Amino acid sequence: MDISALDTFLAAPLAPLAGVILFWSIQLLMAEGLKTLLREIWDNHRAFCRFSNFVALLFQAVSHMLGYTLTGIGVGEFSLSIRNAKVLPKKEKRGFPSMLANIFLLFGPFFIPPLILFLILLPFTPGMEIMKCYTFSTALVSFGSLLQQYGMNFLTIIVNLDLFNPFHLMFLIAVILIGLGIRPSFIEDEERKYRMIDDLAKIRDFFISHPKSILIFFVSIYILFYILYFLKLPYYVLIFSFFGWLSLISIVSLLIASLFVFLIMVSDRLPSFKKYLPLIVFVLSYISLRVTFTFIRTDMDLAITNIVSSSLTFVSSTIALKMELDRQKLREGLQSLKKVKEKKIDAEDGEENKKNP
Amino acid sequence: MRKMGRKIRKILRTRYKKPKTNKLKTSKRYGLSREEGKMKIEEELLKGERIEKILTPHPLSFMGLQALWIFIAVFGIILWWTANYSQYTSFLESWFTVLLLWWIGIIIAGVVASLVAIRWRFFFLYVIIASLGTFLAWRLNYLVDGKGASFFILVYSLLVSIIMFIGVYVFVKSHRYVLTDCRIIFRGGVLKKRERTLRYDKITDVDGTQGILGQIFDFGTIIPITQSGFGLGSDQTFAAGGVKGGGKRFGIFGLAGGAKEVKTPRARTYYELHGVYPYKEVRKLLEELIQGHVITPYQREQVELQREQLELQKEMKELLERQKELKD
Repeated sequence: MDISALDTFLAAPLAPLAGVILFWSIQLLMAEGLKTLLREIWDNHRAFCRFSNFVALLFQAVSHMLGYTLTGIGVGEFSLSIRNAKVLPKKEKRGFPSMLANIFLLFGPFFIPPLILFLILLPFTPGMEIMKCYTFSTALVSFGSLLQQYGMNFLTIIVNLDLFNPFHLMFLIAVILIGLGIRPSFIEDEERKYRMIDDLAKIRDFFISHPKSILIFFVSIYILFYILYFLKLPYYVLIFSFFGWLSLISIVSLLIASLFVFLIMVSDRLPSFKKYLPLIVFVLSYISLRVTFTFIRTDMDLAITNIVSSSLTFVSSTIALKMELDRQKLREGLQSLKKVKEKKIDAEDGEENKKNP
Repeated sequence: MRKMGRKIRKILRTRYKKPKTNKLKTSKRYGLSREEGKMKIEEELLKGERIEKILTPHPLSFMGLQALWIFIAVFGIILWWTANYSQYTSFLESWFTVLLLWWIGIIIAGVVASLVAIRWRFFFLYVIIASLGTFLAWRLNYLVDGKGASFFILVYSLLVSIIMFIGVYVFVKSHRYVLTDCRIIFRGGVLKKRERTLRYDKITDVDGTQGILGQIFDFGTIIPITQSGFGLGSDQTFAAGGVKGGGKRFGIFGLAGGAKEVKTPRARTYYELHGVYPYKEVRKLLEELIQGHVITPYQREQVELQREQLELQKEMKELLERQKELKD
């Protein structure tokens, strides 16, 4: 048997799956980073963190509800609060629908929030070129190409957001909310942190308890690949690219939300009027750049303004935070030195008193 | 060296402010300070009465009212921006189109607000705002082109929003709830002052509500319900259907309908503990105060005492009988 046939029939169907897993892993890591930042500001901004938790729980509940509804199990009980989300099935879960519902429950919260942004941006998404792919490498290249095409369009929209446009501003708020809403950071009822490892453990437990699901999953993707291959339809990679796009939207949303939370954290740690530094730098740099670009006309004015003002804010805030931390360290060092000196003087006095009572 | 020493001393003198920790804050944050409140209310207290807590509503607990001015401001900004900078500027070149769009937005919002709150006064308020705005725009000659009209609407909307914000703020701050050891005093009113007191022994039921904002910011509404029905409202639904048939010679007209009423805990914000902070702490305190005034525990204690006395008497009787037997 020719090796290329093996490549086509065995390896090629796995290529886009590998791409999706890679991007999902990056999404998980980014989400963990954001959650760590949120936990850092928990004490000072309890209301904000509770709100972000609520958004995450809302998306989680919606995913669960969709999972139960689409698999025909039905929703028996639904309750949502800022502390907990509870969705119970109507019937007892059994067989294939139960497995499908569980997959929805495990992966839905990662893909349903970005789906909202995807749907908002759908009218602005241009047509894409799909490559024909019959080997592992071409399938991977095709996946990457589709991701690149969508990613470039999405990033162009994000970078060209006009903050003086109320609709663009609303879109930016939605992006930040989606970023904040990918998984909760803290479970108040149980008083424990919610980590990425909890999600991975749940997925592991599911696959251990349902070993057949892995087999069913791989068989179904191979069947899908063969059908589309023999019908000469190039949509196999496109189906997986869709999940890649959702991951990409999540990654960008998480990045913007992380920057937002980071600036809040910096603001908290800076003393007195310096705490307004991130806000002042951003507003001043943004307005001055926009004013400058009214005199110098370019096609990239919005992109340059957004990138430069965000970078400037991030860099200046980081420097200010580092300087403040250095100052604190110096102060602590001096205080400990002062204490050592005082102890030494006390000891000397004690010795003198002993000598001359 | 001297310079260095001065620098070190300066650094030592500058105190680093620790980030605020979110400790459980008391009612002081959203109301009068304890001292101020006590000074005013203590004069009106009964002999031996003690203040437990003075509360005012959390500003966000009146989000429905706040939304009224937020909408006016946001809609004014969006309309101005759309008429001047968006791709629809050519559509909004005429002052009439801008004004019409503003009126439509205001009317729809007024109807929605009125339906949500089941109070038509919001609709009429919005109609008055829009009418006054139109009159002023005409008088001040802003009704020339779309840009002029949109600019006037922006400024007018912002001014009206500020006035409405102040009004809502004054209304929120007019509420004062005093929890003493024997009653709750509800006070409120901006122009017309209202006051009501409620004794704990009259409270039969306590209803608590915490919305999403309340859960996030830790405030909630507590309605004490009394035997007389104070704190209870009703939801009414009505359905009706009609048939009409007509012709030259005969006509039929019929109407069928029905109404339903459900009793539900509801009171005016002056007569409930509206948006109190911190909710759980206040609710626990209230429950404890009510429990302290319930007569049942004392009655139970009395029964226990009587039972003990009865048992003692029985024992004594037995002892006396045995003594008698021994003597015989």
